[in-house]
Amino acid sequence: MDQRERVELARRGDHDAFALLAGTFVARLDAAARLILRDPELARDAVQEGFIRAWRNLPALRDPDRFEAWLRRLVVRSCIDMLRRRGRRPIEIELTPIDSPTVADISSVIADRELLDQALRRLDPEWRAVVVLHFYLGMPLPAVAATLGIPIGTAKSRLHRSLSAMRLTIDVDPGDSGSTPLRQGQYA
Amino acid sequence: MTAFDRIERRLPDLLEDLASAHVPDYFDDILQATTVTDQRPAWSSIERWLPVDLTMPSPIGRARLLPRLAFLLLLGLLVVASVLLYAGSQPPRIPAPFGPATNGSLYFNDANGNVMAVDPKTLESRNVLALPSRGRGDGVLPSRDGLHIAVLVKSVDGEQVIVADRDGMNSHTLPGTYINFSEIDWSPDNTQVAIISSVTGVAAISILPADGSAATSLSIPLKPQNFWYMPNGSFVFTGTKTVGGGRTYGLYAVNADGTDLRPILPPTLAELDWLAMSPSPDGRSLLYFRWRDPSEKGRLHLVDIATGSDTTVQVAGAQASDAFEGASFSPDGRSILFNWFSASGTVRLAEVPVGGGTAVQFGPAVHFDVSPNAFFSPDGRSVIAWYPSLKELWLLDPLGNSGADRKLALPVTDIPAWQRVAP
Repeated sequence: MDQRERVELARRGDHDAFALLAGTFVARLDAAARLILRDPELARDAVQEGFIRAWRNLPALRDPDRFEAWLRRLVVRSCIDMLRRRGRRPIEIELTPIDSPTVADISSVIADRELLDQALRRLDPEWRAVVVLHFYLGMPLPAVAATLGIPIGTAKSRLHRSLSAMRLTIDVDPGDSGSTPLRQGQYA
Repeated sequence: MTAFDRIERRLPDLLEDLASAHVPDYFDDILQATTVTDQRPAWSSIERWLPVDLTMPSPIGRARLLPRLAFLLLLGLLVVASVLLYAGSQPPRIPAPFGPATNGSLYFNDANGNVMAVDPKTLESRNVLALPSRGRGDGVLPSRDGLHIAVLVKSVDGEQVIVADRDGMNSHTLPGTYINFSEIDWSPDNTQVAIISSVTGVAAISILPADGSAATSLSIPLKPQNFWYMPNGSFVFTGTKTVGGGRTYGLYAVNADGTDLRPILPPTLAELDWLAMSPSPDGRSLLYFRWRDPSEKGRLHLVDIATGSDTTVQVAGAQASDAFEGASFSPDGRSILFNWFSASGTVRLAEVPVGGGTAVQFGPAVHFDVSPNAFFSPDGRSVIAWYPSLKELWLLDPLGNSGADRKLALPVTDIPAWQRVAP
């Protein structure tokens, strides 16, 4: 049974088919939600809400082939809803001073999970969503824009500025010989 | 390659590593929740009928809807404010001081002397100016641009002129108290009103600036009557001159400062030679009627001011015993409105081309003892007429289509003044 058939069955109320479909996508969408929200509990709530919404509204899905994109959109929108409900800057970001983690090259810096986490956290959640959708879920920018309900130009701008902000956070000068300390408490 | 490039290239892998995707421990909770959740029937969802993109605006879009609406609203308000500011900074559209204009309101004094305005189409009336403390209104005249009104007010102290905006706002009494106030006219530029009243016992033309500054009286060795502002700002009037023990009568012109008093035609000794004079809208000619018994009992005359040429307007079909009186031009200057007295003892309004010809009679035929007072509407398409004998006000079709005639049920005791407004 392929995905399309599962979607057709789920649309007709087959919960087992839906469970199979959900199992196919839940891991990646949960990860995306955690990346966007940077809070496991919020991500849990957002994913649950997105999947329940998907089950409830599945009969209305006209094109079964678009199920994945549709589900992804529901979850991402649940994430955004979650942020909205909690306020524009809901997540307290604790900026831990980093005492001169001298690095030899950029690869070693950004390979550090904590540094990337910190760089992501410093982004506006909606900018972060653009980064996650594009680089993690592999969505092309037009799809990112459509999912977030923003113009393509805005999506491009957010992506560019997000990457610039992340670079500032990580504070790497490509011409530098290598021993560049991270700036402390700098927001993008 | 820059660090930016390197981040961009490695970000997918780094995010994979950071996210460490796995089936979450709450997945069973999701399935449990969906088990107890009913699906919506497909037909009940608009998404079923419309593309998802159209029916599911993003939360971001929704969240930003209010700010965007607020921005658009603000933008709209700014545009409106700009338009209003621009419109407010522009002079209001006004009609040319002479010639055809669009019909505005009818102005008159009610039984208490207060100024009323009426929409001639709907007859919806409104109070414009209350005058209980300042006397009794006894005549109102809109300015040529239709933006102001001048009101003659009579009180125990004498007669005064009040000028106000067309809606009665900004009213102010012009300096001076006058006696035997008889006529009033607005200057072409609407900055002054001129009146005829007694000055040291003699009738004179006085000019009253509408801004309330001091009035001046023209020093003219004539008794002026029936005066008009002309398009060039001068006056024309019928003048009586006392010479020795006798009097002469004639048509005169004078500059607004009282200089260059000149007869338009040689004065005569007959008082009824120059009756009901009125100028053409272009200011080039004058219309009057003459009554010389028995040779010329009521005939219309047209005078070219520049040449002094005086011609009698020929009305086709007129009997020798018929008489014409009370002539005035149409706003376009092409035809003449007059009272046609017939041998049968009745009088009707009539219109005839300026060059003469067949006249069209219209309106009620009334006894000749009390003839109607009438003039063209500003647009020239109708004639408003007050019939004192009937105490009726009529709006008449000068083309003679009696079906279009309409009696105006207004509490007037004389003919109202018609406001001219911009086309």
